[in-house]
Amino acid sequence: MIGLETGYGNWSPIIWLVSLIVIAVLILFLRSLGKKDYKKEGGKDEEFFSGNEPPEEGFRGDYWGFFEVFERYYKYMEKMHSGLINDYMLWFLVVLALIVFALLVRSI
Amino acid sequence: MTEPVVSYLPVLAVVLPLFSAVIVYASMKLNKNLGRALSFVSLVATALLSSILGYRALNGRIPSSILGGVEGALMDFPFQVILEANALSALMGVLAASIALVIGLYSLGFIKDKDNEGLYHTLLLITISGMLGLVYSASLCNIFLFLEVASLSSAGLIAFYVSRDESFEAAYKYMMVSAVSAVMILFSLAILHGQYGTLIISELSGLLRFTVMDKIALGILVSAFAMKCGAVPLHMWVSDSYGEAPAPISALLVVGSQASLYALFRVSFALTGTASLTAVSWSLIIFGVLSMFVGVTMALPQKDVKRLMAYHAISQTGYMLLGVGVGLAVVTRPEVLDAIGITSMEGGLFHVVNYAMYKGLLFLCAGAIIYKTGTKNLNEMKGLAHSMPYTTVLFLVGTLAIAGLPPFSGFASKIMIYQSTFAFNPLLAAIGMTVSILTLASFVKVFQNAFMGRESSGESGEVPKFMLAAMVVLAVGVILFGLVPNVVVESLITPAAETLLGEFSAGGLI
Repeated sequence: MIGLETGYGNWSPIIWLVSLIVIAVLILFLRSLGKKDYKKEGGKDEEFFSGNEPPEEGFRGDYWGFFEVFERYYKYMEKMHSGLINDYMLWFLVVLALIVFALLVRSI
Repeated sequence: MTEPVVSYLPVLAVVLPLFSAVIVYASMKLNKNLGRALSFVSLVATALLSSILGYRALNGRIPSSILGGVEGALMDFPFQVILEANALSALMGVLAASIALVIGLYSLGFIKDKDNEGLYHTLLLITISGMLGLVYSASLCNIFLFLEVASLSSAGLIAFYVSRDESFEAAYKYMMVSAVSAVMILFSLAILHGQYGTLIISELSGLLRFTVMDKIALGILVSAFAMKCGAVPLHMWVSDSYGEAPAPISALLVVGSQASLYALFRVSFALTGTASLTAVSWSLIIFGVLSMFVGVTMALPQKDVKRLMAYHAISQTGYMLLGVGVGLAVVTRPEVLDAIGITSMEGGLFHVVNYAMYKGLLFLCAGAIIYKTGTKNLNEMKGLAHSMPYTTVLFLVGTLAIAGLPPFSGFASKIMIYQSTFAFNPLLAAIGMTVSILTLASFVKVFQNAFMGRESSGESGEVPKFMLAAMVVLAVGVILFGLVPNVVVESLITPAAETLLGEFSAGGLI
């Protein structure tokens, strides 16, 4: 069998590429059947937010829903990433203590 | 090539860039073009030596080369530097030297005529010497020594933009983290040497009695190397250092983190007995899962393209920790090891190789964008595809690879990790796949912000040819390794995974 053994099956990039080309040809054929007089003007290619204006401009804008849902997580993460070297070392000590405890727990 | 010559190849690979560093610094004072040429030739020669070493190591074990060791000559005990190459260390050596060569090529354009250019090339060569020394070391003492060499020179490179306070701060943090790791590693080495009188990994593996002190030493080593490779929650220095360093140095730091990861894997396999197996393997798995998830979720809101990529670097390290951690967890169960453990380890190690290439490519693309636009802020970039078409395509290749889309190299290693970890614990595979989706979402935004839309009225045009050539080399590697993953795995990765497994069985435990 050509390809990579992945545990459960086999992955062959060549077969995948051939399939991709066949699908691409099919898509292009279907596209060629579409309306020829389509024009981009009129906001047809703008981002769609249920008819509303995007709530936030800039890099975070498109994923605002994700950040809203995980607001508490991100607040905690901002607090954790304080930029203070003391905090970095504190985390190191915590992790070190946990790993040493886990290693010793069977010896106690 | 005769055996004595072959046995000194690891020494040559380490010493060549170290001595070249001095010559390059002096040459730069006389003639900058001569210095640049010497720096590049040294990197080519180092990559060639590492490749020959890799080829020889895959076709039979190379005898160790021992330097020093005369009792009473230096101190009361013999001080030795023992270097050796096996399938795993040779793979890491070829990877480090090749990526360094690409970085050297890129730097010819990126760093040309900047202040301290000579120092840059000198530190680059010292760093690669330290990294190669680390991967070829047979002894924990030498690993510590070369880790220090690589860390100190890397700190100098992170602080390259001396006029920027942020660069100094990032370098200071990196040095502090490295210093604390080094002190803790030294402490654990003292514990082990005090009990067994040796720090040679293969000897220690057979001698360990897994006493309380041994376990404390092992815990310290695992924590310290985890911090050096940027595993969550010991990752905070990564975004500072990768974000503030010059772009090619960020790519070099990726290789440096891989070297620390390699040390973590070796320690985890060679010094972990059956009594410590659950704790160490699950430490790697938990580090992996946390790194994957926290890395990618912290990357999503970043507006600084370098910091964003730094968080993705943390996330990708998680995949390797997960893959090898699962392999370690089942190492004493032969039937499970054969069914999923080896594939999982191969996936993790294959991801090390793929990650170094596509992450290197993405950092170099980020450098190209910053080189032309003068900003790292994604909100200030727009329509770069119009003026930088080649960089756009190369960035797209890196993006698709890191997101794990077929047929690029990232997919092949990720599917090996997903499928094998699914059999071990489906939740781990589900987290891995979710992280891949979030990675794609993050890079879709980067691509849209930086490359799509109308062209801004800034400076246009492509980056210098040396920079483009370096990015093309990595992109070709990403595509090629994605198209023939079976060849890469069979010829390079499987022997490396077997070597790692051999280090565990060397302790006589399976």
